[in-house]
Amino acid sequence: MIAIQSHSDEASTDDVIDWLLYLGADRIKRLNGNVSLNKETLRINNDSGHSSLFGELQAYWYRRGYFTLDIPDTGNPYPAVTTYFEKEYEYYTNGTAHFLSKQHSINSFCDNHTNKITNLVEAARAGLLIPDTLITADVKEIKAFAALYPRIITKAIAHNRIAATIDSDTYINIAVDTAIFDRDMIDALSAEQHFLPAVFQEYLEKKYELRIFYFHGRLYSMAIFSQLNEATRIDFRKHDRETPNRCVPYQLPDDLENKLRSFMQRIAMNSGSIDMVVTPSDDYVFLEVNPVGQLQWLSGNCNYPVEREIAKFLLHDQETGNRTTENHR
Amino acid sequence: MDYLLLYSNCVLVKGANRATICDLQKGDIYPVPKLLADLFQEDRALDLALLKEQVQDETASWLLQLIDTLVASQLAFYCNRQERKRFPALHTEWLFPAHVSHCILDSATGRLDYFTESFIAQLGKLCCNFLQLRFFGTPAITHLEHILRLIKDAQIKSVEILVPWNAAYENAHTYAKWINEYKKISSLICWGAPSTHVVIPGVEAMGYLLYTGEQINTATHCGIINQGLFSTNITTYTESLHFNSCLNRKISIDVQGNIKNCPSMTDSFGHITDTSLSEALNKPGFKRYWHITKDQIAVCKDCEFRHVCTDCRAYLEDPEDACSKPLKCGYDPYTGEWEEWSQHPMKQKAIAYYF
Repeated sequence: MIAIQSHSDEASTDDVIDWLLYLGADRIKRLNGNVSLNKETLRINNDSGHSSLFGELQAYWYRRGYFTLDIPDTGNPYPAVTTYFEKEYEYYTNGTAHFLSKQHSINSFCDNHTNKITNLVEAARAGLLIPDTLITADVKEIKAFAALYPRIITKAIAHNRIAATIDSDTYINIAVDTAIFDRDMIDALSAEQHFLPAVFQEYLEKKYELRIFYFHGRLYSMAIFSQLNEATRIDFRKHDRETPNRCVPYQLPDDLENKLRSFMQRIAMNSGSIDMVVTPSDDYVFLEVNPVGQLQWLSGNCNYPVEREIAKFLLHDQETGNRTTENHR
Repeated sequence: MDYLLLYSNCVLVKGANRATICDLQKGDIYPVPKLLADLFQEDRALDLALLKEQVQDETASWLLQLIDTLVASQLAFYCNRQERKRFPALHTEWLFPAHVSHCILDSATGRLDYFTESFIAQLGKLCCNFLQLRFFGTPAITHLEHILRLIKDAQIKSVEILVPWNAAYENAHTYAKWINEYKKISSLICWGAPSTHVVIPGVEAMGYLLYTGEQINTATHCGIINQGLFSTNITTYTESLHFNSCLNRKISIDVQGNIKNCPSMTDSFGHITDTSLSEALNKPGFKRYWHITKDQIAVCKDCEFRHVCTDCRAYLEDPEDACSKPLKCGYDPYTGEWEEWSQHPMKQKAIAYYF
């Protein structure tokens, strides 16, 4: 069984399944959206392990979707007990995700908990350049930091999206994108103000940006000419529909590829989309890694066989997979 | 800066008289004079120092103006020697996971009785992506809805439907209802309508509804080459480098039920009542045109549109020659001019042969 966890409208999942079918896979199980483990069983012992969720596992790909909290209503009135139930359940889902990640697999539900701060620390330890970064809610510190650079930016520590359900028909989705933190906004801050700690970074001038898909040691890189377009100068994820950014294949220097591999091994993430910046002085600066980033954008614009290689990995077709890696170096 | 480098998804295609830069990312085609095209090394990089050395005053300033236009149009950028090797050429492999990409089904009566669950399963096995249903007679509402329901749950990605325009369907808003209800319809074209216009413009993953005054009542209407049908993207481009732009991975069933590569061709590989699609596909000769690339086709091989063109192997200028120019193409790459193909004196013999 090849098991895939995703969303029903996730296009890259469709693409990989097309390749799987084309290459002759006959047993594919796709789970979409929220998956409850309540009625599932996990069996582990010294001989083997088995989750009833997917049966005999040949390979597992965590693409998107959630292990959802599904606590039966016992009529318990105590919040502390509810918290206890939730914790218990969370440890079960994380344990199951860990079990699945130890199979022949790509990504894990736990990769969603990847930490931007940890990743910056590890990127620097792997020899990658990172932007000067401040994480604080202390206004004095922010002002001192801002004085060091012509411009600074701010972004969220963990999530760049707020998704909240209002009622059964309504939900809100607020994007918390990277933004320039203007000098007059900084000047207007008073030391008594209280807010949530956030990330502040030096603003990097960009020649172009890089989106790099890492997958079990292979790297597929794309240059994004975001500077041609005002809307995407700060954050290329703010796509411009009318004039899309020029996106082309990019060949990273070998030593940088090795540093990225070492970084991904340090954070124990076997697949992810890495964002980098190339500065006007040709420095490569690491920004962040997203375990479940957009794929079609990269494979489509660069004509990279990413989806086929994912399918081959899931089919244990390693021999051809390695040959393709050669082509990409 | 040392070079002007074309972005690798902007490809230079040289023709006899001029070249084009095909922007495969954004879908635009830019004509380029041959003089400029020939200056690019490996069809990608223009050495700016060399240009200034080799080309004289007035021509040089004209070329530099053109170069500025290419940069302003975001087709190319300036880079140095070091950077050039960081921007490799586009991979030319055609990445398309399907044994059959398109399936065309023709019906003279408005019925496709073989279109059952087991037929859909056959298409699924072949990983068929796109379906085209061409009705030359009006299908009953229940019959077409039955087909659409089968498609809805299948692996098919999209379906294009041609039907005769019908006043009763129009009054009952049947067409619009289909478009709204069956999201896999990419387009619904009603031929023989009182006027030609777009009724529902396809936006945001919705299908579009088009009325046309034309009479599309037989398969012989196919094969027309014109700029409106050019398809400027990576999939079409890479397919054209290795395979036939029209017939590769296509299968069809003509109005008689014969399984063919294309309904307009004569060779049949079995009848749908006693032959499965994969049986037909694996018969010797079925794929004989699949590897005829544009670089092998007379005239087309000198055409700057050859990698965005639809091609046609069913109606040829010389019906005896499989590598002859499409009959219904009025473009002359040697002069760069379009003419009405059906009026061309050289084509009259072939027109008489086919129609």
